[in-house]
Amino acid sequence: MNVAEIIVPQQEVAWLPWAVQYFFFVGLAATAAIIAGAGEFLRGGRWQRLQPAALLVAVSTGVVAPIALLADLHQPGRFYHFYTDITPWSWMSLGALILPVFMTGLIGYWVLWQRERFKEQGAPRWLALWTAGHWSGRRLRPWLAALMIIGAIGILVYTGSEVMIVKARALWHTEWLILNLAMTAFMGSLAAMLYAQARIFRATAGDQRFTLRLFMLALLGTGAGALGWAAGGWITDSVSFQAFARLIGQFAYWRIVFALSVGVGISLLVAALWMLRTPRGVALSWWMAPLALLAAWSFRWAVLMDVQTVPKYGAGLYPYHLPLGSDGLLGILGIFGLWLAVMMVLPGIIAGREAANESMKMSEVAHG
Amino acid sequence: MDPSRRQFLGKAAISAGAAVVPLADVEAGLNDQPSRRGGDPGKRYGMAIDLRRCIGCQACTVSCSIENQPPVGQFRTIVHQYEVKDNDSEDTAAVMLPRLCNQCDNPPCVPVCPVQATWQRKDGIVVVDSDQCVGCGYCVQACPYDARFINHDTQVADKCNFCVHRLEAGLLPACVESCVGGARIIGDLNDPDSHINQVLRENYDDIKVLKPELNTRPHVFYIGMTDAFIERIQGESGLWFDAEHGGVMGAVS
Repeated sequence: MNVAEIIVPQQEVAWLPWAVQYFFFVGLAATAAIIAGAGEFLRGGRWQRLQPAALLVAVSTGVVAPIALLADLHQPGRFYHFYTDITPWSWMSLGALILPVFMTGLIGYWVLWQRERFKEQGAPRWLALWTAGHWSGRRLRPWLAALMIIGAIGILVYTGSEVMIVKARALWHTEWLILNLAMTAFMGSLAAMLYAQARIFRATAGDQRFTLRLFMLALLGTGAGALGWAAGGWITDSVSFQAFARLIGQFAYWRIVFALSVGVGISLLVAALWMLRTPRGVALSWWMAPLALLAAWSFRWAVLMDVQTVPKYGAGLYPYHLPLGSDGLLGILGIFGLWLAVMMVLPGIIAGREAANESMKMSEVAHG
Repeated sequence: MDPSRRQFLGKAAISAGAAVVPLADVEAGLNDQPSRRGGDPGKRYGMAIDLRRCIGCQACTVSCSIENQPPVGQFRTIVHQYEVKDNDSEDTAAVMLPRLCNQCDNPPCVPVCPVQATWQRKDGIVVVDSDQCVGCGYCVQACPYDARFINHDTQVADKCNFCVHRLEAGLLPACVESCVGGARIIGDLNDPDSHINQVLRENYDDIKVLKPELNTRPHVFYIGMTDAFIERIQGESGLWFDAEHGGVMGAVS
């Protein structure tokens, strides 16, 4: 029997590109915060020396993410309903509670960390208040670091889970999604740290090599997550894998998405392996940052936006044309622009004198 | 049992009870159904749709739009229309499939709502408080039937609610009232003598719901539906698709 649709309405996307921006930035923030937090407890070594780069990534993306989240609400002015009507059975409501905890831990920790650094190295005049008083805050710092790490894990668990529990979208309905979102976030944030270490903090080759190794671990984790989802899905015949196999079979667009994911993943892995072998390779490794960040972003685009164009009941795919306004391109660019604006100022604060060596001016720092 | 231990256990039980009492509404675990509220607890509304009687005139679509005023191009109910061809005999037939909210007994749209703006009434109808909704779109994602949408005018979630305002005034929903062939039958499933129960009894062997395997327990029952329409449509997609998306209708063929 052959069925052709004659009159069927098209279902619009309900989550806008703002959601991609939120998942991207909050993923980077959470994973970078975990690494920055590790530096608090593993002192005196490479983890601690990675802290400036990790905090730069975590704080800059962390302050941008909630704005994208707010914009994804069609009624952003009503966001306070999340707090006046707490709903313990909803993952999204839980997320609304986790996010401020994470932000408190992250910003609180950074403020104290920065204070100690300013006290050691001296603060710029316009930030002199940062070091006011005699209180060191050293006792509070591990607690804030713990809050930051717990909050970050909470972010990774809730963002993955809130998507994963949606049974109506078969592609989302897999526990592997939580791992895959987390691993690609680690991949992106570590790539950003590689960039920051090389171009802003002038980290030593040994420290960059350490970050490159972590980046490779994240790539391997991403690969393992993808393979686990595919192999597990193939063996257990999971709905998510079934849906993906059907899309690959039916639509060229999804074959391109699949080929690009595999291609970019393998390219990054081969490049990272090659770069790890020589000091020259390590010094060049920051070049992978744009591609790794783009890959992390694109994964979220495919998961959140492309999957919404797969009809739940109808045949074919719904067309999606990116609007140019704030529901589309302008929103995407706006959030990237906001991040860029933060990145004009933040490296100058966090890097302090470190970046000022080699006679680098602040403007150069800001523009990489 | 050692008395101090018994005392301790007793106290623990009391304090556990005290912790539960003020949170009586909070017994639902993550993504579990919260308790139903409002509506007549004695009733359970449902709808039967006799596809043999539907002629695809879209009178229901129009009357719903007039009654509930969704923006142009957005629908709480609409009649999907398909052309079905038998591969052997090459005979073709038109299939009409009226679609609306299924008022599921296990509605996946309800537990996801982060602000309790949507809930199931005791009479089974799933409603939305448009003043409370933040427009996060989570319920739209969770509904496996595409019954929900973000209303372009109000910017909040919108859906069919069986015209609950009319039901409470003793009227039929607009779509039922206007149905030319009498294909839509609404009624109280708890009342054994209701018209809907009579119709369901008469057609007991021919009742189907959409996507039963998802365990949403839909309460819109289709009579005379071909099996090909229970799950996702395996076929050619609608008019707006280009060749890339596998469409052949209209412009491409």
